Amino acid sequence: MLINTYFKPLKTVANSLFLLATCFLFSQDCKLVLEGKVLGIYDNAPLEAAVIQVRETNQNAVSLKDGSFVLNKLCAGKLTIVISHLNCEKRIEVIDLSSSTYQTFYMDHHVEMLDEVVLQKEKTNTVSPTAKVVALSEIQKERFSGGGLAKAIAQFSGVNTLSTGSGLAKPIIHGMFGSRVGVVYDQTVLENQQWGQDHAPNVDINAFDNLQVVKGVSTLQYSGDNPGGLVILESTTPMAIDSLYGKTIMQANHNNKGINLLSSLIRSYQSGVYLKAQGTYKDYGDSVAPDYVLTNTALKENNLSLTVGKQSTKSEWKLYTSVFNNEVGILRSSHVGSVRDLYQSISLNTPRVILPFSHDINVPKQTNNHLTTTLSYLKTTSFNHKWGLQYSWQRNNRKEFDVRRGENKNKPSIDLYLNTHSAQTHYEWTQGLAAFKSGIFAQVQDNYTNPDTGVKRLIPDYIKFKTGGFLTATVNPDRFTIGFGARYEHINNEVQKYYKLSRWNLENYEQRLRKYVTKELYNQILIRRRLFFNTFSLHGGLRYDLPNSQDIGFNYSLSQRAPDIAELFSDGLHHSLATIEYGNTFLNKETNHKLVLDYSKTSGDFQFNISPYLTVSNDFIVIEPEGVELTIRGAFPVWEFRAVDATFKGVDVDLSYTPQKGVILKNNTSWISAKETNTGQPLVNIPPLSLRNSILVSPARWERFSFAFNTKHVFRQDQYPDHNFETEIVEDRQYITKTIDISTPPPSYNLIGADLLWGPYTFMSSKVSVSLSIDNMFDVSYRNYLNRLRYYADEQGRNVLLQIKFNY
Amino acid sequence: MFKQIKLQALFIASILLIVSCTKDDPEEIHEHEINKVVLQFTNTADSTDTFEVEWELDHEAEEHTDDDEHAHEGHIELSPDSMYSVEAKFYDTGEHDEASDDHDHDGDHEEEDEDITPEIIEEKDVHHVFFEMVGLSNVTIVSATDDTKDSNDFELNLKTTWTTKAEEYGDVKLYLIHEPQTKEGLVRNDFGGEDDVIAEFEVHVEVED
Repeated sequence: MLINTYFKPLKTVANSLFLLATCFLFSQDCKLVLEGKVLGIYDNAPLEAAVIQVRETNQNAVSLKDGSFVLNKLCAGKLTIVISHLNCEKRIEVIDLSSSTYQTFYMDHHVEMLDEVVLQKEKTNTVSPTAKVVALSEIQKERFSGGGLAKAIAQFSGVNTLSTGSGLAKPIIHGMFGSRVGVVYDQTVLENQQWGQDHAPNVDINAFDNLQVVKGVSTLQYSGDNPGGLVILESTTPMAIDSLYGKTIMQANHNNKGINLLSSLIRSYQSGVYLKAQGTYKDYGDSVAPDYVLTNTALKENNLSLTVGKQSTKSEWKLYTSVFNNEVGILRSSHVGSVRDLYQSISLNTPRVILPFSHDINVPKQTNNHLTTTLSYLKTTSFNHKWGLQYSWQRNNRKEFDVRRGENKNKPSIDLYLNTHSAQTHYEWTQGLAAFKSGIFAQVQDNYTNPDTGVKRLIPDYIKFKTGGFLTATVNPDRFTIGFGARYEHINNEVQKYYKLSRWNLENYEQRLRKYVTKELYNQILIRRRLFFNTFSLHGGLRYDLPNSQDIGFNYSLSQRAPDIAELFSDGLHHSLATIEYGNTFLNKETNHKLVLDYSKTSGDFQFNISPYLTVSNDFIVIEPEGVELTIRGAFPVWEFRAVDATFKGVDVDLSYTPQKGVILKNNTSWISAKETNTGQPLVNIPPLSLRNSILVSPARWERFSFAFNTKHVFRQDQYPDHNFETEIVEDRQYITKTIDISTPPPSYNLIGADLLWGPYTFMSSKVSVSLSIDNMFDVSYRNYLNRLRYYADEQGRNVLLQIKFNY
Repeated sequence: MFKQIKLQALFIASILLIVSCTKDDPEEIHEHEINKVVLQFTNTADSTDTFEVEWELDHEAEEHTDDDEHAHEGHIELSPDSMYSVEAKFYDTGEHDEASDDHDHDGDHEEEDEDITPEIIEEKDVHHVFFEMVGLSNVTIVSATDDTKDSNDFELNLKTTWTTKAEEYGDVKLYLIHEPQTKEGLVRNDFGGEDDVIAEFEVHVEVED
C-alpha cells in the first residue's frame, strides 16, 4: 500500500533521470543491456518500484510489478549497481559488464510492520484464481507461533476457533469445522482424526513459510470434501545460491510461565541442492484466569522437520520428513463422572478443582504424535508444461487419558493409530490464455485402536481406500479471470465394528445389518461392512478487475462430503460433556452449495473487502440429543447423528484506512447465521458476531519501531438450539427435577491488546527484532461460547508475550 | 513419455491390489468396570438375620425409552426399630452369560465376579462412599467402628451401621466418589469429586409378614 503511493512520482523522477543520463553517454561500445529482476530474499516475491541505479553513469531503472527492470546503453567495464527499495536495506553490487546480461538481485525486504492481512495476488493465483485467499504476514505468523494453527488464523474475518480449553483449538471457517475444514501442508492433506471436536490439527505452522486460508471451496486440487475451507501451508524453495541462513525466535509468556522456541537453518547451494532443518519446542505451565489457576492446562510440544531437495531449471525434487509431538493437559475440573457432577459444575461459578500453579501435566490429558514423510518431484517439460508426482506417508497416534482407577490409572482410554499413504500425479499445461491442471490420486488409510486400553473403541477399526481425479482451468481474457474446477472421489471403506447387544436391539439393526455379522459374543456383535461413497465436487468462479484497483468476484461451488467415521460409527462417553455419542451407520453423503460474492479495493488510502456468502446444504450432518442411557454413573443424555437441510448466511468485512502516512486503521467484522432449513432451528456452535478494530502506527522518524493497539468485541450468540435436558437431584431428601443448561451462550465480551515492535537491529552478523505483546490487557473474566469447556471455567486472563527474533 | 506410461501402469496395478485389502478381526475389548454393588446386611440384634441386596447394571436394561430412571433399583427390606451392620462391595461381573461357566469363551473356567473393593481400599485416600437418602426421615447411616480409614483417618463408609425407627418407604442412593474435595459433608454437593458409581436402592422399613 505504501509502495503504491510512492510508485507514480518515483517512476516519473526515475524516467526523467534516465533520459538525462543518456545525454552524457561516451562514444564507447555502450550498447550493452543489463536486465533482470528484483526479488525479496526470503520469499522470492517480486519487488515493485525498486530503483536500480548505475552509480558511474547515474542511469536509473525502476522495477515493474513483476520485479523486472531493464538498463539500456550501458558501457562495458566495472559498474556499481545500487538497488534501493522502500522498506529494504540498500544493496550495492559491483559487476564487470562485458556483454548484455540478465541478473537477479535479492533484497532484504521487510513486510509492512504489523500488517495483519496481506492479499498476495501473485501467490494466490496458484491456489485459487477467482476467490479471495487470505495470507498471514511473516510478522503475524511469528507472533502467533506459540498458539497453534487455529489461533494463528483466527485473525481473519470469517475464521474462528472451536476450543477445548486453552491448549486445544481447531479452526471454524464460515461456521464449519471438523472434517469440513482441511489442512494442506506442502500439497499433502493432513490426516489426523480431524473429525474430533477436541482434536487440534497435528501440524507445526512454524515449519512452513506461507500460511493461506481459502474460505469455502475455491480450489479442488487438494480435496473436494472441505466445504468450510482449507488452510494451506507451504514452504518456499530456497534460491540456488551458496547461502546459509535461518532464524531463531524465543518467546516467553507471562500468563502460563511458558516458553516457545523455534529455530530454522537453511543451507542452499548454487547447484540447486538445499537442506532445511526446523524445530519447535514449547513448555507451558497452567494457564491462569483472572481469578484462579486453570488447573491442569499445561502443555509440552516438540517438533522437528527436515527437508532435502534440489531445484534446477527443468525439474525439482524434495524429500521432507517431520515429527510432531505434544502432550496437552485438559482442565481437571472438566472431567465429570455423572450428570449430577455436570449439574454441580455448571452451578458453581468457579472450577471445582483449583490447585497451585504447576507445569505438570496430569490426567485428563492428550498426547499426539504425527510423523510425515513426503517425496515429491516436479518436472517442467519443453513446452513449459509441468508434470508432478508426490507420495506421502502419515502416521498419527492419538492417546486420550481419562481419570481411571487401579491398574488402569496410566492407561489411555483412547489409543488410535492412523496410517495414511497417498500418491498423486498431476499435469499442468497452458493453451493460449487458459491454464489447466489435472491430476489423479490414490490413498490407503488404516485406522486401528490399541485394544489394551480396556475401553471399548470410540471409532471402529477400518481400512479405507480413496481414489479419484481433478481438473481445474483458468482463463484470463482481458480484465476477467474465469476459473473452473471439477473433482471426483471414490471411497471404499471396510469397517469392522462391535455393537453392544442392547444397542443392536434398541436400534433394530437386526433387520438391516444381519448380513454383515461375522461374530457374536454374549453381548457384543461384530460386523464387517464395506461402505462405498462417490463424491463429486465442482467449482466455478469469475473475477473482474475494475478500475482504481477494485475487483469483483463471484464464486459458486458444489461440494460433496462423505460422512466421516465418527458420524457413522461413534460409540462412546465424552467425559467433559457428560454425553454419550452414537454414530448413524445409514448416513448419506452431504451436498453443499455455496455462493460467495467478493467486492474489494486493494490499494489507496481506503481499502476494503466485502464478502457475503450463502451455503445451502442437503443432508447436512448434525448431532443432537435423542434420549437417555443408564450407566454405572447414572443416566446420561444420548446424542445421535442425523442429516438435515441447513442454510448458512454470512458476511466477512475487512476495512483499512490510512489517514496519514504511517498510520493504518483497520476493521474486521464477521457475521454468520446458520439454521436448519425446515424448522428454522439454529445450529449449535455457530460463531457470534465479532468485531476487531486496530490502529497500527509506524512513525516515520522511528524507522525501527511500530506499535498497534487492538480491540476485539464478541457479541453474545442469540441464535442457538435448546439442547437442555433434565435430571433428578436429591435435595432435602426429595427428588427435585433440575434443568441442565448446556445451551445458553455466555455474555458478550471485549478484549483489548497491544503490540510493540522494535527492530531489526544489526547484531554481529544477524538481525535482531524484539516485540512485546499484551493480550487481554485489562485481565477481563469472560467465557467463550465456542469453548467446549466454558461450563467449567473462565478463559485465560492477561498475557504478556516477549519475543526476541534473530535472523542470520 | 514411456516412463510416464510405466509409472501410470504401476499406479493402476497398485490400486487394484490395494482395493482387495482386508484386515483380520479386531480383538474384542472387555471393559473392566464396576457394574455391580452388593450390600451385605447383618442385623446387630440377631446375627443369623443376614442378607444381601444387589444392584447391577443390567445390560438388557441399559437403554430404555421410558422415563423411569428408577426401573431397576435393588430392594432393601428392613425391620423397624433395628440396627444393621452393612458392608458395601463393588464388583466387575465381566461380560458373560451367568448361566455359563465359560466366561471368556476360551475354554477355561474363570472366577465369578471380580471383586474391585480391594482396589478401592488400596486407593483409599481418593475414594469415599456416600449414602444419600430420599424420603427416609427416620433412617440414619453412620460409619461403622470397623470401617476402613484413609491415611488422614477419615472413614470411607465401606462399612456402615444403619438404624431404623418407624415404618417408611424411600430410596437410598450410594455414591462411590473419586477424588472428593473433602471427606466430610452432609449432602452430596459437599464432597465435590466425581461419581464413579451411582447405585440406587429402594428401601422398605416395615414389619415382616
